[in-house]
Amino acid sequence: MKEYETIINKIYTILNSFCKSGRIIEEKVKEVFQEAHSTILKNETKLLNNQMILIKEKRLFFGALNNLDNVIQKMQFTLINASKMHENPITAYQCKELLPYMSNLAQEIDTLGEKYHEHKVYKIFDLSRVLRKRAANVNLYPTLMEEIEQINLQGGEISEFVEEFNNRLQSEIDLA
Amino acid sequence: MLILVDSSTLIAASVFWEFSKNGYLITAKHNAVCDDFFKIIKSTKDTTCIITKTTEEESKAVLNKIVNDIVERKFNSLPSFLKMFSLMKLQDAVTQASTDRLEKIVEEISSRKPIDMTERESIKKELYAFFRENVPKTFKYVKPTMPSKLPGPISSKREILDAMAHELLNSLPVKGIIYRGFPEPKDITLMAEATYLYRSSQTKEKVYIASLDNHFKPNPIQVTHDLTDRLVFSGKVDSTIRDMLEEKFGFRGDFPGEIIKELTKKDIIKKT
Repeated sequence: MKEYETIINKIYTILNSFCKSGRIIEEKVKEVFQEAHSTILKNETKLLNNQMILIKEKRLFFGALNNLDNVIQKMQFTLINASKMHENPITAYQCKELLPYMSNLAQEIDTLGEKYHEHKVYKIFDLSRVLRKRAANVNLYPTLMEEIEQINLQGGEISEFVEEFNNRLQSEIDLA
Repeated sequence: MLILVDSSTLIAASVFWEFSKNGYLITAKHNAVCDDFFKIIKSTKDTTCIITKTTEEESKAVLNKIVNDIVERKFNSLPSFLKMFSLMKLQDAVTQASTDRLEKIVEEISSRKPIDMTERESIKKELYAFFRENVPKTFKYVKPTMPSKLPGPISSKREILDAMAHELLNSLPVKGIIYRGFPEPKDITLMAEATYLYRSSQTKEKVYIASLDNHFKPNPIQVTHDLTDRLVFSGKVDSTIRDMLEEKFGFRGDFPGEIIKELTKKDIIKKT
């Protein structure tokens, strides 16, 4: 099933219409982008619950889905904002520039299926990194702070992670 | 002037994010020095900075290993799916932000020079021979042997050993050379590349390796003895092996901050 390609096609249709008419229907944008977000969330959940996949591969595939999700959510926010501020269609053109990268990534995710071959997961992650960088260049990727603010962890849990990361980093650099 | 960078310097410069709202800070030790180092090198015309593909890949692998180890340890012990999901989001944000910084440094600062692989392998053999000959003569730290019959209580024995350790320290390098131990293959490869670049310039080019790793730079002299677990930094460094490497192979390994100081002294970097 070409689940992701279908989503990207729907986004493409919205952006095309935005470029032509200079207007968007906010409800339609929300519907399509929300559907994209829900699909990604469903796959992330499935991935994390799959006991057969190694943490290393889980992290890579999760990272790829997360990159795509972050771009899609930022795009939704930017498009709706642009419409309100009458900044169209420049924003729509910027979003359209990302579509080839989103489409490449979507195709690979669709062909991955349930098998999570290591080389395929690496390829997907690399494609998502390209998308992430391109999106960041046109301000269509959330900043690190925006990303962290979305994370549902208590202060102590974040501190614990930070402390462990710093300690391990120190010993790795010492060993390097 | 060529400056090769090893993975420790690249990682230290790449890992920094501050969540100012809640005051969380993830930062590698020496981040400020390494970050400044790259900024200065970027604006200096007479230096060429080289970050090899191997160094870049290794640095990313180290970052991934750190995060992977944490996630592996925590993942199955988390009380709910929501926590598990949030941990994945957090680790991904940290890893990818650090990787972004790392790739930016490489893209903006690094040049690539051609390296003859056959020649490099031949230089590696010379380096292995050098280390096989010299590492057995070195010590990782100063540790006086405890005399079998030492009078008095433990506290006075500790005082005697402290004094002995300091005496030994003053006799270095006569009694011993301080060095980290045999370098890893990746370190030897970087040294061979630095040597190759030095020799291929007909020894005209000054070649540095910027590193936090004691296999490249002068080693801090640390003192310990049998009645303590602590390693105390004496405030001195032993550069014997580093200097021997420079003499024989032509590259000079140093802490990034020291390289900047030296370039400033030579007026290659203008004093601000």
